[in-house]
Amino acid sequence: MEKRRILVVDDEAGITRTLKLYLEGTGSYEVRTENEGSRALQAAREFSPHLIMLDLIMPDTDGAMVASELEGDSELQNIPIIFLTALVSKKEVGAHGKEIGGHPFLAKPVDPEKVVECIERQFQ
Amino acid sequence: MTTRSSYRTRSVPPRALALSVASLAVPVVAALAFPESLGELSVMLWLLALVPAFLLAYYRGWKGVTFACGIGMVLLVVTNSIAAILGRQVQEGALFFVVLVYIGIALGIGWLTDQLSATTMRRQIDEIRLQLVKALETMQLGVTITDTNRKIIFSNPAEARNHGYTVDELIGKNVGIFAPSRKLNPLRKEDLKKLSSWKRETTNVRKDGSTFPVQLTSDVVLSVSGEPIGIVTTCDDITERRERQKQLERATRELRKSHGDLQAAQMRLIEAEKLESVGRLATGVAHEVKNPLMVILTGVKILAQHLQDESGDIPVLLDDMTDAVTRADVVIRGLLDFARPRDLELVPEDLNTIVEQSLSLVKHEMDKSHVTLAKELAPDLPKVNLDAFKIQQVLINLFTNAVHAMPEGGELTVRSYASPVRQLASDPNSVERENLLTGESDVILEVDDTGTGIPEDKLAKIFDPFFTTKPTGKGTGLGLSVSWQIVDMHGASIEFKNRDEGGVTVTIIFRSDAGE
Repeated sequence: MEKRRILVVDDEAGITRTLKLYLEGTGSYEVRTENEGSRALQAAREFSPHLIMLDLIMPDTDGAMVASELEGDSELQNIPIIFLTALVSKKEVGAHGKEIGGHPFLAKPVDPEKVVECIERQFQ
Repeated sequence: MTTRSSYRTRSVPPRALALSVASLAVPVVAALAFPESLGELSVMLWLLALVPAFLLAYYRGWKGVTFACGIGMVLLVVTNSIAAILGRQVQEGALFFVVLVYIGIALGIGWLTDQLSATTMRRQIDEIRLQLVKALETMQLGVTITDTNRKIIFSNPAEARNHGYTVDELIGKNVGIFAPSRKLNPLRKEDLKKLSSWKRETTNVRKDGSTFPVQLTSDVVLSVSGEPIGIVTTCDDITERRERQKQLERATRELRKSHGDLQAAQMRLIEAEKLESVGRLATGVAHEVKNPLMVILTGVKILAQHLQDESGDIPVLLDDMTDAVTRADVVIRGLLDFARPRDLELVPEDLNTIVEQSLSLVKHEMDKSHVTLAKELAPDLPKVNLDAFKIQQVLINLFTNAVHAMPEGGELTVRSYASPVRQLASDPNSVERENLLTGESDVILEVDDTGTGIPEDKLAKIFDPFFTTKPTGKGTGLGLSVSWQIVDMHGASIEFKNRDEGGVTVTIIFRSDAGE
C-alpha cells in the first residue's frame, strides 16, 4: 500500500522532528517537515501531501494564513488540514466546537497516538 | 460667679460711723464741761460738727454735701487763723457771721445738687432697667428669675412660649413646674452663697406634658449686702442641637461604613489586578511550555515503541514521564482558563439544577472518602443569570475541596435559599436596606463541610494563584483563583468562613432580579 504523504509545518524543530520520527515509525506515512510558515505553500506544491498538519501560531506566517493560501490554490485546496495549537481558548476554537475554520485541531501537548487517530479520520 | 449690682452706693463702714458719732460727742461734752468758755470754743465746736457731716455725706455718696462740709471746714480754719493773727475772736466779728452764712448756703446748694443728681441717676437706672427688660423680652433664649424659694419673679416671653405658658401664668409659680417632678425644693441661703454658676443638660416639661431637652445655666444674684436674693436661669432648647448631633453621628457611622466598603473594593481591585496580570503571564507561558511538552511526549512515545520488548524499569520510567507531561499540561490548562477573555454566556438558570449536576460528577469521589451528603435546596428559587458551565466548574471545585478536607469521612451540606435583602444578618440598620427592598433578591448557596477548617492566617491567601495546601502534584493552586474569577465575572461574591463547630462554610451570593 502506498504510504500517505504528510506535511508537518511547525516553527518548533523538536516537534516536527519527533512527529516525523513517530509517524514514519508507524510505517504508514511519509513525512516532510517545514519550520517556517512562509515555506509551507512551496513545500506543498513540491511534495503533494495527502494531509497537512499546521501549527497555528508561528512567527512569520501563521497557520491560519497558510490555510487560507492553500484554500486559494486550485491544486491544493482539497488537501485536508489538521491544526496544532499550544493555545486553547474559546476564541480560537470558534463557535462550532473543536474546529478552526472548518478544520479539526489538536491541542499541544497531544499524544501522538491521538495524532494518528485524527489523521486516519480525515481519510475515512 | 455671683452677681452684685454695679449701680449701688458705697455703704458706710462701721468704723467711720463710730468715728462720726464720737466726733459729734466731742463738742457736746466740751460745751457741757466748759460752759463759761463756750464762746471761745465755738469755732472748734462748729468744726467738730462738720466732721461727722462730712464723713456721713462722703460715705453716702452725697457729693454736694460732702463738698460743702469740706469747704466749711477749710473756711472755719482759715478765718479762725486770720482772726488769731489779728488778735481778735472770730465769733465776735462779722466775718464769722459771713462764714456761717456761707456754710449754710453751701450746704443748701450741696443738698440740692445731690437731690438733682439722685433724680438723674434714678431716671438713668429706670432707662437701663427698661432696656434690660426689653432685651430679655426679645431674646430667643429663655430666662427665668426666681427668688430664693424658687418662686418665679420674672420670666421672659421666650421661656414662657417654649414651655407652652404665658408670662403671667408663670409669675409666682414654683419653677419646678418645668421639671419632670413638677416640684423643686427651696435652696438654703447658706448653700446659695457657696454656689457659683452651674450648668446642666436635662429634660424640661411643657404645660401639655410633652418634654424636650434643654441646657440650663443658673447664677445666684446677691444683694448690695452680699445676701442671695434670687437665681437667674437661662434655658436653651437643644432639641435641634441633639438632632444635629444625631445626624452627625449617623453621618459619621455611614462614612465609616463607606470607608470600609471602599477599602474592601480597593482590596478586590488589587486582587483582580493581580489575577489579571497572572492571566496575561499565563498566556505567554502556556505557549512556551506546551511546545516543549509536545516534544517530550512524542519523544517518550517513540522511545516506548523502540523499547517495546524491554522489561524492568524502563517502561515504568517512560510511563512516569508521560504522567509528568500530563500533569504539567493540567497546570498550564488551569492558567489558560484563567487567562480566557471575560465572556460569559449568561442565561437565566435554576441554580439547584446546576448544583445537582455538579454533585453527580463528584459522587464517586464522595463515596470513596465516605462523605455523606445533606441537601437543603429551596424549592422555589428565583432564576439567576449565569453561565451554567462555568458555575459548574466552580461548584465541582468547591465540592472536591470539601471532600479533600474530610479524608476520614464527614458530611457535606449544600444549602440554597433566596433572601430579599443583602447583608440582612450582618447589619439590620443598614441604610442600604431600604434601597434593596425594591424587588431584587439574592440567591445564596452555602456549602458546609465537617473537615479541618482553614487556618486563620491562610484564609486571606486562598484565592491567590498557586496557593495550595495539597501535596505537590495533587493540586495546581489555581482552582479557587479561577473560581473566584468566575464568581466575580457573574457580579456575585464568594466567601470562606471557618465554622464554630469545625469545618468551613463557603457562601456564594448571586443577585437575582425578581422583575425579570
